[in-house]
Amino acid sequence: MLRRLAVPAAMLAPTPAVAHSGAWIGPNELPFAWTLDPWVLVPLGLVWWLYGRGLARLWGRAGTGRGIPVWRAGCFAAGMATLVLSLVWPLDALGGTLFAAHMAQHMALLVLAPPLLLLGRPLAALTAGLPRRWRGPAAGLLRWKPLRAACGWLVRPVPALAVNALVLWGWHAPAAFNAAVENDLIHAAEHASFLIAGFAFWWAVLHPARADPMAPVAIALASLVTLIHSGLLGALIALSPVPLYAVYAGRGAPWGMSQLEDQALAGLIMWIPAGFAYLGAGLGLLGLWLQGLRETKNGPPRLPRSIG
Amino acid sequence: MTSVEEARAYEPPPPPPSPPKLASVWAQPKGWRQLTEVNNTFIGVLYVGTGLMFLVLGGILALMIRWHLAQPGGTLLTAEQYNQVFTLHGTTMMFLFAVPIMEASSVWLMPLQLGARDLPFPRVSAYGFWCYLFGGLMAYSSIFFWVAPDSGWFLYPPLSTEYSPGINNDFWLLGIGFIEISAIAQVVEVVVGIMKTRAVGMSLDRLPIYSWYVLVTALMIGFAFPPLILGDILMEIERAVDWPFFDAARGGDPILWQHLFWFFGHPEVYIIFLPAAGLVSTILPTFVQRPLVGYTWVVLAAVATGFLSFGLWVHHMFTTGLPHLSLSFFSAASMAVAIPSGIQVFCWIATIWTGRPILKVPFLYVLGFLFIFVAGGLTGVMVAAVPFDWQAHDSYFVVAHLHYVLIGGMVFPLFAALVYYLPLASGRMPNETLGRWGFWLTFIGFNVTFFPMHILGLKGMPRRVYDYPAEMGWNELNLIASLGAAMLAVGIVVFFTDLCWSWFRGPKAKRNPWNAGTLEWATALPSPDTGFRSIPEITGHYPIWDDPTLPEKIDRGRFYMPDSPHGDRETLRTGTVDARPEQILVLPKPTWLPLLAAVATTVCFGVAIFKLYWTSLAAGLVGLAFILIWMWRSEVRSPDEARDIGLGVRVPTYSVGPRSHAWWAMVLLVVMDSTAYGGLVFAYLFIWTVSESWPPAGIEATLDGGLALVTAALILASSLPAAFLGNADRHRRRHLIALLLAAMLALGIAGGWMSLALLWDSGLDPKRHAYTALVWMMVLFPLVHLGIGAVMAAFTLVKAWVDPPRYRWSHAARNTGLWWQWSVAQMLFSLAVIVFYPDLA
Repeated sequence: MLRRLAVPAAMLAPTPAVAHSGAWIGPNELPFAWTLDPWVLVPLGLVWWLYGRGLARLWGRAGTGRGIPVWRAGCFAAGMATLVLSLVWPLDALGGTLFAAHMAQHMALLVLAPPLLLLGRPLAALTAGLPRRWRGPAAGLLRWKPLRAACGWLVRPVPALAVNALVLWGWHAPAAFNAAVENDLIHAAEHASFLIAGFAFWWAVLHPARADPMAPVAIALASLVTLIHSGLLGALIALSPVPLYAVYAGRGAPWGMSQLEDQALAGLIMWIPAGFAYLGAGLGLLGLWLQGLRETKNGPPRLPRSIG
Repeated sequence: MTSVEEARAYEPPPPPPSPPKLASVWAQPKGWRQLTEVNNTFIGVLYVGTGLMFLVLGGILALMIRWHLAQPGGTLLTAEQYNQVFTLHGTTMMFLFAVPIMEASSVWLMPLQLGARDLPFPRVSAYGFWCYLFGGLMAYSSIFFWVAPDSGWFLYPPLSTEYSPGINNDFWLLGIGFIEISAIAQVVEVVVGIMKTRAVGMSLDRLPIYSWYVLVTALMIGFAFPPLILGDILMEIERAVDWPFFDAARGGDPILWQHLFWFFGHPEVYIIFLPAAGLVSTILPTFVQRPLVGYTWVVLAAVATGFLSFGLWVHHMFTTGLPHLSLSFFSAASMAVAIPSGIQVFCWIATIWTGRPILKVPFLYVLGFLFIFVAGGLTGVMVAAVPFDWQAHDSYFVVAHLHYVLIGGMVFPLFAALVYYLPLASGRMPNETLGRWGFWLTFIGFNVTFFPMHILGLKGMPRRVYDYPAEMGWNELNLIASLGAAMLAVGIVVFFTDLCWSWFRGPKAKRNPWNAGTLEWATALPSPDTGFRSIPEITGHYPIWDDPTLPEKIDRGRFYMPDSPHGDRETLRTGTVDARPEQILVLPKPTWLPLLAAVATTVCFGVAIFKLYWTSLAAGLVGLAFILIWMWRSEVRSPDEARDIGLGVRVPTYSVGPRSHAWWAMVLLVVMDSTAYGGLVFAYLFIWTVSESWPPAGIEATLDGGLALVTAALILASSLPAAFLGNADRHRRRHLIALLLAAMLALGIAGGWMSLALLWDSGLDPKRHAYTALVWMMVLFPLVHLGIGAVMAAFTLVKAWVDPPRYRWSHAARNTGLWWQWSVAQMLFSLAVIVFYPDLA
């Protein structure tokens, strides 16, 4: 189960994003503000293609909607679309001008794209999409013990929670954030770490350990804790009467926003919409878990089912 | 015939007497020694009674307010006295009545509903109760000398700091802060109780709905109270030694207090409401004789309310000059709370729909609750709209709204429960006529009092004014409200008369008089000290409706643990999810220690109000000594011992590590403590966000990065031996444990000393600026934790030395290790933040 995590993390995460330095984007420039970076476009295209190929093979063999239901494929497509919106157009380029857009990009990478992609059962489709003779080595890589151990550790509730918190609080420290906006490489590392932290957390949410019947509850509690601490960070950013991120000084003018307004909007995006994602995660987990407990008793004994 | 009707038709034979041993083990001591009793049956009743006493005391203050405001130019109180009366009214109702009585109800009711003989930490319950009683009386008694807190129940600085030099607000900070600690103790008790001490077969999806609500509430208290306690500590330090956390002139921010307060204060509303909703969800099905509709939905709604309430505290601060954008976000998020509340209300209505309501007094209160709470919820949606809130803020509209929500949402369900459970507690039935009079007087009196306040608010009458000019057009409505308050008071007197009279003189109740389906009604009446004769195995949400003969089977000892052959107080520990029998918990017998420790704690906090810090310290040490004796005497048994619990099942009597209730309690404590620490980090970063530069202008002294690294290295090294403590304990290596503890202590003391040196050498004067004060706090907070860890380590060490055979397999080593590692993590984090974050220097 855990070995399946490695592929999207390896393929998507290290895609460097173009830093937001350069010309500032106003409403008139926005339609043309595409980030056409091969380091992003090629992996995205590759994943699209592999997933589609795998899906076609699976469905061709067993019938449409078998193995991977249509709604899951839809989730995957939505997740990929989120990645395009946040890495290609318009959020990536706009993020150099507006802190709020940059925050929306981060939240898309942290709480929107990962769960959608993971719901699409990416590993099954991607492996099926590989050319036949690559599948063996790919599976071998996924079975490589150190990798499995590392990923297995990362998706346990407490580490997933801690990594998520570390990435969130670490990158939003003004020094780190300013550095990322000015330097391409740091920026790529920033986006990669958001995506990895997101995958770890949402993997934990969507695939609670089967052996431990309390695992869904633990990760639901982790969602609550994340809701609280990300809300606190959002509050700090949103409510600050002082501009915190020097890079964005004066950039919001074409959008009619002062720096403080921009900053408040950014903090609120982290606080409220992202908070609702964690709320949904916690409630969904508990609801399915309670239902699972009940079904276990009424039907033949079964392990609580996982969502993913 | 449905099973419900079968259950009604079935009358169990009178219970046979309990086996003498079981009865004698659980019997309450007589005379003065009764105060040593720790069983929930005794403590729970006292606890609820104390809560009701504070309701009356708070109510008297409310009547004084209404008397004074009945006409313009009221002469009952002076302005200063009025301030004290309304502050103490709010404080009493919130902290001394609403929260504690809900915890009291759960301490009393939950073991019966879960099928346990008692909750897992009876002495903690007892200690929490005595602290609450003494602390509450201490805080309240300030009004008799007119030195009560007078800055509103939320104590906003600078009104509560700079402009209130007297000891008034110290009564709030120390008295209430102290009671919050007892609230935390009850959280540990009920959460571990729900997780670990349930009837066999009561898997989590069969958990009584009330327990779900209590569980959610307890976790909310665990996350919400610690930041408030931290805020209390900061404000008390500011008032006592002048560290300017909230002083704007020295870089502090009064708004920081509002954040810390409302981060607690918003969940507080649901902390009060949710257990009451749990009581409604328990009582309502009985009076329509049908199961609750949508069990899972109701559980999720309760959880959702709990989650949401932590994102919404800012909506109490709409008028503090927040960024405009944020208002619309919060307005929308605030309205989202209406969704889970709505789900619950619809589930209740649907349940009524499926059955035929029986209009007995408890059900009247439930209906009154539905009516008033929905009305209060609607005005809540109104004040969630920002433009409206700007108009209504700090006016009587808000007073009306909050009383509709709190009295409707909490007092009515509580009254329903008091009448409903009277037979269970006293064995006698309430009087229907008196009850109806009481209900209608209360219900009508309530609406006459508080409905006009909506209009008063819209007409512009502000809150917390001690007088108003006659020509404002508020006279009639104020008079009506005051007359309503008198009627409400009469209603409550009638209600209590019914309660007291019926407790002693009411007609004897038959078994399960309301024909309820939940487990607590399977006991004999009044519920005996033993709880159940035997601990049952259950198969559904309504065990008595599922099997009407269940009470009889329990009485005849057909289930688990029908006797106490070893002469111990015992209850069953079951699996967290599936509730399979796992262990016999041997519970403590009556002891003076909780009471003595509570007295010492009270003295410790009480004399600190008068700045007698040495006396306070001495009392604190005495209290600590009592608690250590209590720890010393805790049962330590061999894990190899197993006992027969009946039905062919043998379980051990002791366990350590993640399976044990002690480990769970420690983990809970660490989680709650981490939210207090999180509040401190938030405070530090908040001051950073409101400062123009960092470190703030005019502060040249800096922290020495090298020294900080050395400190961090020493502290980190001390956590290494702590990590091995559990292992050494498991393998019964006494000498190794002693060595590990000694190494841990030595490194910890060295590291702690270095952290103090770091502060000392930095030249940062804590009185100079909020920043410097918070730097000190960031180090002192973990340092105090390490100090507590050192006491725990010394205790474990001594125990290993003096008492080797019993010492083995104790929880002490493992829990000390856990606490120590948590304290180390705090210290490392603090050092990292004050030296490197947020500006990577």
